[in-house]
Amino acid sequence: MKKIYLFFLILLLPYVYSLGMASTYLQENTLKLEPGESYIYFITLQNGDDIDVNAEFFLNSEIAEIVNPKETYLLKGKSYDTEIMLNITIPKEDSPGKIYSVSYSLKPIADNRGQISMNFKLNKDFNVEVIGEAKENIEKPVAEIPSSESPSDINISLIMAILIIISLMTVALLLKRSSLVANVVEKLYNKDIMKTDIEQKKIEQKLIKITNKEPNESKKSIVLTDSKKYFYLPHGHHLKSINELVHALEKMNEDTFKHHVNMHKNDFANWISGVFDDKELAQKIHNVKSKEELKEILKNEGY
Amino acid sequence: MKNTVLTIIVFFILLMVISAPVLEYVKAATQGSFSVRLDLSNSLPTISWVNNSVSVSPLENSIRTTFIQFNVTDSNGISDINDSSAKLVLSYSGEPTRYNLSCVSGGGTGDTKKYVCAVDMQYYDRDGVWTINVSVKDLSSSYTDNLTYTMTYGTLTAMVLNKASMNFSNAALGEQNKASDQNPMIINNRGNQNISMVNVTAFNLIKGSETLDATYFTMNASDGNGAGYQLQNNTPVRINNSFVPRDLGGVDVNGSLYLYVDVPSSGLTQGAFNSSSNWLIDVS
Repeated sequence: MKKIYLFFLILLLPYVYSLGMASTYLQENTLKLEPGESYIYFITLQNGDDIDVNAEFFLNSEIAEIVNPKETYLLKGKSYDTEIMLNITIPKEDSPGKIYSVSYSLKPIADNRGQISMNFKLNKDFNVEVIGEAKENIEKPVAEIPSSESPSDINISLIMAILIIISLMTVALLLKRSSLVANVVEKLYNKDIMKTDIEQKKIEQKLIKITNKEPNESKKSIVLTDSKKYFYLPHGHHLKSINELVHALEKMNEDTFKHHVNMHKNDFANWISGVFDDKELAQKIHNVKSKEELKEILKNEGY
Repeated sequence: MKNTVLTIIVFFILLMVISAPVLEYVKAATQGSFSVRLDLSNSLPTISWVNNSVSVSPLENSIRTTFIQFNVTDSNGISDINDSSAKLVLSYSGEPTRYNLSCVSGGGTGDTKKYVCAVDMQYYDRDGVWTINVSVKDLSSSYTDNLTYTMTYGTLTAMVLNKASMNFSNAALGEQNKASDQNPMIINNRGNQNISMVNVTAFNLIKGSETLDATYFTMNASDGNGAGYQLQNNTPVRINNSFVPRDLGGVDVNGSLYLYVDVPSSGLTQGAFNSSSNWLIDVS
C-alpha cells in the first residue's frame, strides 16, 4: 500500500512562556462595596522567566474599567511589578445583595511559527457584592417602631413613671419639712452653681484665647454613628472620626494608602469634606502625596 | 428653734463620744513602730506593637521575603531583653509554618526595643489571612508571646507551558491515533491557586487550498492512547481531568496534555499543513 505522508514542519520554538497575575486576597473571593462606592483593585503582572514577553490583558465586567489601559504590556524577564489598576464603581441606584462578576485574563503574544503553535491564557475572576442597609429599611418611618410594643409593655412603662413621680414628690415633701436641711442644701447648691459658672467661663475664655475660635466650632470631637458615613478600609476596617484616621495612618501600609490617595483621587479629602463638612481641611490635604505629609497636616490641625 | 438648738447639741455630744476611742487608737498607732517589706520581682517583657498591616503578594515560582516589625517593652529596661530569643512564626491552618527564629534587633529607646523579622513565603503558600505569632524572652527566661495580629498573603495565578508548538512528523494518510512528537505538553502551576479547568481552542490546519479539519485532532489529560476530547475549529473544548493543584509542600505538580490526530485516508496531498492560528490553552 502506497503511503502518502503528511509532513508538518518540525520547527520548535526556542522558548516557552511563563506568566502570572497576583492580586489582593479577597475573603470568599468577594469584594464588598456600597452603592455609589468606588474601589481601586490592584493586579500585578509577573514574568518569572528570563526572556521578555509582550502580553495582552483583557477585562470583562460591567462595573470595572482599567485605569490607563494599554494594548500590550511589556513584561521584562524576571519582573514582578507591572501594575494594573481596575477602577470598580457600584452604581448609586443599586440595591444591597446584588452581585457582579469581574473576570480578567492575561495572554502572551505569541508568533505563529508555521506549525501548531501553542499559546495559553490565564483567567481569574472575583465577585463584587453590593452591601449596605436595604432601601426599605432606610425609608421606614421611625414613628412606626413603637407600634410593635405590646399593651403590657406600655402599662409597665406607665406604672414605672408614676412610681418615679411619687418617689420624687415624697422626697421633695420631706426636704421641705426640714427647713434647716433645705436651707443648707440651697446654699450649697447656689454656691456650686456659681462656682461652676465661673469655672466654665474661665475655661471658655482660655479656649478662645488659645485657639482664637469659639469652642463649639471644633469638629475634632465628632465621632460618626451612621455606618453609611464611615470610611471603609480594605479587610473590613473602618474609620469613624478624623482622629481614628490619624491613628490608622500610623499602621497603614503603602498599598492601602495608594488605594485611597493617588493621582486620580483623594478619598480622605473627599470624606472629610463630604461627611465632616470641613472644606478647609479637605483643601489642605487634597494634594498630599504621602502618609507622612497627610499625618503632618492633620497633626498641625490638632488631631 | 429650741428643738433645733437641742438637736445640734446632742449631735456634737454624740460626735465626741464616738471619736474619742478612734483618736486614741490613731495616737497609739503613730507612736508604735512597724516594718515594711517590699519584694521587687522581675517584670515580664510584653509585645507592645506588631506591624499587622502587612499585605504582600506572592512571586511567581519564587520566594517572597516578607518583613514584619514588632516592639518589645520591658519595665526592667531593654538590656533585660534576650535578643536571640526574638522569634516570629506565621501560621495558617493546614499549611506549613513560615518563620524566623532569629529576628534582628533594630535598637530601642527607654524600655522599648524594636525587632525586624524577615520571613520567606513560598509562591505556593495559601492566600488568605495568616496569624502572626511573635515571642521573646528576657534574661530570666521569662517568656511572652502575642498571637493577635495577622498578615494577608495575596492571590497568585501563574503557570508555564513547556511546549511552544506541537508537531506530527511522517503522519500517513489513514493513520489513526498518531501521537504528537512533543507529547505530553506540560502545564506547570507556578502560583497558589489550583488550576481546575483547561479549555483548548484549536484551529484548522491548511496547505494551500487543502484543509485538515481541527475535528481530526483529540486531546486528553491522561494519555488515553488517542482517546480524548475531539477538538473543534475556533471553539473552546473542555479537557476533563486536567486538574493541576498548586505545588503542595513544594512538590512540583504538573498537568499533562496529550495530542493525537486521526489522519483522513483520502482527500489530502503530501506536504506540510500548518495551523491557521495559534491554538489556545485556556486555564482557570
